[in-house]
Formats: sequence, C-alpha cells, structure tokens
Amino acid sequence: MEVSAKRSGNGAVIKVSGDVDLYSSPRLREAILDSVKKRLTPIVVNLAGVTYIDSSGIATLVEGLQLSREYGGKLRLVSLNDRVSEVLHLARLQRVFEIRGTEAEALED
Amino acid sequence: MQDISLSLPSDPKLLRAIRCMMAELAELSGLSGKDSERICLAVDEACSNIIRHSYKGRTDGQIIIRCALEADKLKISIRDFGEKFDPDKLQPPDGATPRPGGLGIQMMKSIMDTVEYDCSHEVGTEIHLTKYLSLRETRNGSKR
Repeated sequence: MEVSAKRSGNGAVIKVSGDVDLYSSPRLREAILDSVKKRLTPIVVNLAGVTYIDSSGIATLVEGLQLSREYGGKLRLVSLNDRVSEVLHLARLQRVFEIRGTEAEALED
Repeated sequence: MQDISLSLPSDPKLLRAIRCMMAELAELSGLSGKDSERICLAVDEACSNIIRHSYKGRTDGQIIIRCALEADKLKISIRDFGEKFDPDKLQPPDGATPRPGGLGIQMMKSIMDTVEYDCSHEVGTEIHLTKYLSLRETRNGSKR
C-alpha cells in the first residue's frame, strides 16, 4: 500500500493505493491522524488506487471521520471504485461518509 | 476437488497470501469473480479477527484454514489456538452511530450464507463459513 499526503489550503488530500488490510492500514491511520492533529479540514481521502480494502481500512476511515468531527472538521472520500463501494455497502456505512467525485469537489466548503 | 488445508502463522503480513490462495481456490470451485472477491474478504476478516482478538497481535500463533468443496457448497473452517473469542461481546455496528469495532463480523455475515463459531475446543476457537453454490452464477455464466 502507498499513502501520500499534501496540504491544500486549510485541508489535506491523502492519496491511497494498493491493498488496505490489517497489515497496511496503520500507515493510513498515521496519515489521517497527522491531519487530525493539525485540525485540517476538509481531510480528503482519495481511494482511486485502492485495489483491496477490508474492515480495518474502513474502521480507520470511521475513526478519522469521528475525530475530525470533534473539532468541527470534515473527512470526505473521493474517487471510490466499485470494490471500495461494495465493501462500504457490506459494512452498511455507505451513507455515513460524504463521498465526492473529484478532489476539487471534495475540497470545496 | 480434494479438501485443502493450510497452516500459517498469525502474521498480518500473510493476509495478502491468504487472499491469493482463496482466490485461486474460488476459481477452481467455479465461483464468479464477484463471489470469489467476497469470499476472499470473508476469510481475510476471519483471520484478521483471530490475529487481533485471539492472538492479541502476536505473530507466532497458528491459524489453520481448511476448505472443502461439496456438491452444493463451499465450506471453510478457520481454527486458532489463542484466547477464546466470544463474538457476542462485539456489538454489531450501527449505521447511525458508526464506530470502528465489529465491522469484520458484520461483513462476514453479509457475504457468507452461514457463519458459526465453535468454542467447544479446549484451546482456541474455530469458525465455520459456508457459501451455497446452487443456482449461483459461475465464472462462465452458467448456473450450478
């Protein structure tokens, strides 16, 4: 799994690619928590390159969502492929996240 | 196809290898690509729960995965020798108030036709997953 993060105004864009599972999800968590500690908003997680995600990856996103809400921030998901969408559906969390089509849309207020 | 058994350590680095093996097995079983992906996810979730809850993150525990293809179903059992795992202690997630815990079991139950925990072993737990194949679309589009 590869994770990269960059600032964008008051927010951040975190790009994830590869397999997100119990082994790799701590690195995604670290990237999200880094943005949370800086109280960035919105935190945009781009999942376009994700080839596999399991409940540990979804749980990491849920944790980030909850922590960002604590300071009035937002965490948004962008570029979900079919695989990620299906796993969100299986977890019954597809309506919990704000999902946008592009990074530009996700970075709007 | 003969029954297949695999024994491996409780190391999360190996989850990808487990998924690859399950994908091959599902293909040999004639399952569609979508069912194959889902079964890989269910087995991954079961093994991840074992690593996290039964072995508490230890990487030297043993996990045994057994797969049996029968006429109408694919049966997968996953055995561990760690702390007994009581799935009832994990509350299912609530979509209105999402939280990180319990998602794996929720997903296994969504994917498989049956999910059963056997806590009768003196040591550890065994989980039995079943997917019925009858009237399910196979890889070449035919019905089994």
